[in-house]
Amino acid sequence: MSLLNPAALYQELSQAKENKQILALATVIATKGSTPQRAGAKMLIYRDGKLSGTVGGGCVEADVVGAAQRLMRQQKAQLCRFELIADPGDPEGDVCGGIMEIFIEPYLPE
Amino acid sequence: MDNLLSNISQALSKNEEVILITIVEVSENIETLESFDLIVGKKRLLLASGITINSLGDSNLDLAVDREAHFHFYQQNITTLSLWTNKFESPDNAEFVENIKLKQTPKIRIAIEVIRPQPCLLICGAGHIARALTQLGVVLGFRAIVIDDRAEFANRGYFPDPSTELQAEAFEQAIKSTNFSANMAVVIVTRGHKHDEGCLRLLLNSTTNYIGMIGSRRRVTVVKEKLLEEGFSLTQLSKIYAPIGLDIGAKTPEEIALAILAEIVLVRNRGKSVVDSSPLSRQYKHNN
Repeated sequence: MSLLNPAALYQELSQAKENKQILALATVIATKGSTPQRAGAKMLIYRDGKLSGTVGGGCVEADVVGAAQRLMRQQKAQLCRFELIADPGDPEGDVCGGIMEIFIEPYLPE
Repeated sequence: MDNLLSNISQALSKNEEVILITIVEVSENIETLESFDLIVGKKRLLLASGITINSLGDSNLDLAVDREAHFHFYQQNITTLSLWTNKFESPDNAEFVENIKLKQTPKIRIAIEVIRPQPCLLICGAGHIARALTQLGVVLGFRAIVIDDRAEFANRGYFPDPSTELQAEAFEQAIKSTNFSANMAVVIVTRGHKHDEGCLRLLLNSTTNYIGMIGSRRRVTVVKEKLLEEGFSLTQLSKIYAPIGLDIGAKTPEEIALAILAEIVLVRNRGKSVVDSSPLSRQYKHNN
């Protein structure tokens, strides 16, 4: 999904709600320092693991997916903070150097 | 929530921006919170028409946030606002927003997000560059409208992507029937300079922010000077991007389309490569 086009993302979200799917919307609310995406980036995380859009890819995205799955179970929205300050030599770590604040909100069938 | 989502979809399909306001954080252990119905995730929507949908849970808070949010129409991205909850009870006055902007620990944080409709490319001319523009444009999330008076070019065989709208009619007629918005970028790549210039004249009064026209530096300078003499303003001319596209040494139609779209994205996202944007000569960082 393109970053330029939140319109398509909201369309998909509406469609998913109509189909009574359980999913969460993650939105980058603020960033500080170097981060793989800027404020405004969005991703949909479905209960069954499907993803649309991106909040930065790689390790931080895996952390966001984990948090989203937890929040869908807890039925709770939360502002999550991710610090990408791993050692640049670490092959698995988030090394961009910045901090991302990502708001994650479950959309549950009523 | 369903209501809110359908309102967002409706506005976007009408090519209108909306502002979505969300409570993203409420500090714990605040005794004053008990008197407010503040819930993380609660949303309010502002439509371009001025209509508001939903309350954040407190009418004074709504008022203060709306006022702040109105500054964000036609802007990028997301802004966050931190507020003291105990100031919601303040009387309604012009300094209200200033007073509640927080200098210390936030008690409540609000995200103000501008949601923009799908961007659109209006392409005058249905040649090789137009074709490459529609192909790359789709990848980048653009919807495309292609106009050309030659039906043998402006047809589905040459532009197979079903989302591309084709108008095989005179340029003047097609341009006059187009709904312009700030969300639209125009690219003039017709088969000849005469048509290019004709399209440009018709487009300078539209609300679009980007009008790219193909042509050599020498030729476009002549055209701009002519338009100035004719009485078009510098503000109008500042929307013209010509020679078109970033200088990436493009050769093939596909590379030229990439250079053009790169420039459109740069303008749209207010990227930092623009150094000087005087109406008659535009400079980018990389070409000094």
